[in-house]
Amino acid sequence: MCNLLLLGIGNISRGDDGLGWLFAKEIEKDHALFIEVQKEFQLMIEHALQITDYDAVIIVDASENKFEHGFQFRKLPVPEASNTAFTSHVQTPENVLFLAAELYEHVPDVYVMEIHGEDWELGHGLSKSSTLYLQNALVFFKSLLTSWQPSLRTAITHPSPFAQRL
Amino acid sequence: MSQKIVIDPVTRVEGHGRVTIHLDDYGKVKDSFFHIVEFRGFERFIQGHPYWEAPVLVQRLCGICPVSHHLAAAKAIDQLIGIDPENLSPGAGKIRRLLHYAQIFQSHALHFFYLASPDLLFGADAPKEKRNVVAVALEHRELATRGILMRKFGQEIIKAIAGKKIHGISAVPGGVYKNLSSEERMYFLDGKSIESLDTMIEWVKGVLGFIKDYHVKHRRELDEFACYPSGHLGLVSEGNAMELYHGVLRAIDGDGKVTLDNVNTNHYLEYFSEAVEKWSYMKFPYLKQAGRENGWNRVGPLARINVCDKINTPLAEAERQAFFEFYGKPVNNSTMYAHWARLIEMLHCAELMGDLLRDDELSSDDLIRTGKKRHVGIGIIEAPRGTLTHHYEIDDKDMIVKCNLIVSTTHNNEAMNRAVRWVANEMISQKGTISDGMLNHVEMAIRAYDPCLSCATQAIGKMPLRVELFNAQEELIKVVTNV
Repeated sequence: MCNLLLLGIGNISRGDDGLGWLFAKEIEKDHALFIEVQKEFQLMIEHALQITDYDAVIIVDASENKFEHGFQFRKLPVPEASNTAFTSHVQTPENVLFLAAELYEHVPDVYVMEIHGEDWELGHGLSKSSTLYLQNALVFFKSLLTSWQPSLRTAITHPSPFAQRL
Repeated sequence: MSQKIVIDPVTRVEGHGRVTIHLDDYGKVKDSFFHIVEFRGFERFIQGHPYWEAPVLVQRLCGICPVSHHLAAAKAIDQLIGIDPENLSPGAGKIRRLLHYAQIFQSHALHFFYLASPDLLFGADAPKEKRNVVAVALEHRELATRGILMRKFGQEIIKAIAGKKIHGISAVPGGVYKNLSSEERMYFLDGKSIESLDTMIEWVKGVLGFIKDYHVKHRRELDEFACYPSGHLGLVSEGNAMELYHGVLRAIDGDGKVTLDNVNTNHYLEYFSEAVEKWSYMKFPYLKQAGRENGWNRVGPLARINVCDKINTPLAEAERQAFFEFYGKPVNNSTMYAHWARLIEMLHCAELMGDLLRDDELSSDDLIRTGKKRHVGIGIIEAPRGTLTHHYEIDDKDMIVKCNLIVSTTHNNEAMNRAVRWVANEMISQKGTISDGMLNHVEMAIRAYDPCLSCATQAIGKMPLRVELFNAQEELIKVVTNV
């Protein structure tokens, strides 16, 4: 069995920014023995070290990007260069993978699940549309998990037919 | 043409901030502001909750320093059940202190290695693509990997005590809910599974060597950059020793004259007041006796090293003495020295953690004390960024009816505004052009305070950096962005 980590990123106090945490919480309920689940406010440089302990890592985060079914699941290629510009300590999934390769010379398979969010206000719950997008993403991912290893590796080129029905 | 410069958000600080600099028709700085644009509303939000929920709920204030809020709230809640800090069981008090020192250690590592080091290693005028932690990782591999492991060390202690690295639970009213076994303590000492405590001390000493060398090479700019007189506030223990968990309040002015001495933390309201400004959500605390204009204080590493007369661990005390010997004055008002002071605190915390991890009382089962209910509880600690106050009042049904939080960054609000004004006047005013390097100097001045503004939304696609220039008619004439 593969050593698998799911990182749910976000802040449940800020509307749709909680999508990553809520996704992680849902997966943790039914699949805790199969997949290690961790909730974080943000990706940081130490995650470059942490992901080297795993064969595959799934990073789930809210996104301003729009998608057909409200989510996108994709495998990250190892970047050839950092995409960090004039920015903060907060790291992108691409940078975390890039740093893991540069500093530790170990590259796990890293996948990103982006779920579209619209409302980021403090104290707000999940918006109506993002509630639906979260369910879409969960249905897709849970179906993938049933035979997760081969499905994960072909997720981009062969999207789950289940997702197409959403 | 007069202009307004907006840096929004300020990068490499926790949360979001915004700087506006107003120029007149001749390019001279008319005014400058550091705006806090986030509003948490926790003081109101927590009203109506039972008091025992406070140490858990307030951790949501921040993803970087939740332990500090957890412990400050816990100290206040202890009082609500009639337990003062000196009445905690020895084991519970030591568990809390270990948790606190681990939090400061990992938070300071985060700040120095991730946020401040790009400025020091590459300079404020370096290309913007280089002024970030990834560039540090690529060009200073050993520094970066050690920084990661030092932060991890502190986080692992937090996890061992509180169950999780972020938003774990350790403190309960009157004590802590679990001890640390001898095996758990040995994990951090023997170096078999992770780098040992002794290695942490050696690494901090190494970084201190770097920062001292850096100050020798850049002495003049570090002495002068954002240097302005201010008050300094912090906790001290007996003999005015640096104190991070529980002590009395002490403050000095910019010349070292004592303005607050030996004040019991429960009496803080007798000495402090808070002002508001229409352009910021964050308040401006000040000492009542000195007034709004002169009574503001810096807090955090630079303030703490200024208000104490000694540090009660030998390696850190030697470094404190070297710090003041180098500076040559009894009070240090030079903003950039905060980084050096922060590293001395890391060493102090590492020494303290070593003492505690070797103390068998950490494994004691005597963990919780009870007392007689009170209606007011006040907890003040030295969080990584400075003095942090939690004040709760409850009704007869144990529900919170009043909450007052003064976070460290609130104390530093005036100081950060002064720092921005200094940079604007000295480095931007009447220069004829505005470069990225100039704007980064503004951020460097703010960053030295390691401000924690709020846990802002950081979803994919958000957090762009926008620098906007407006003319006198509020027309947008220039935008600089990183996306």
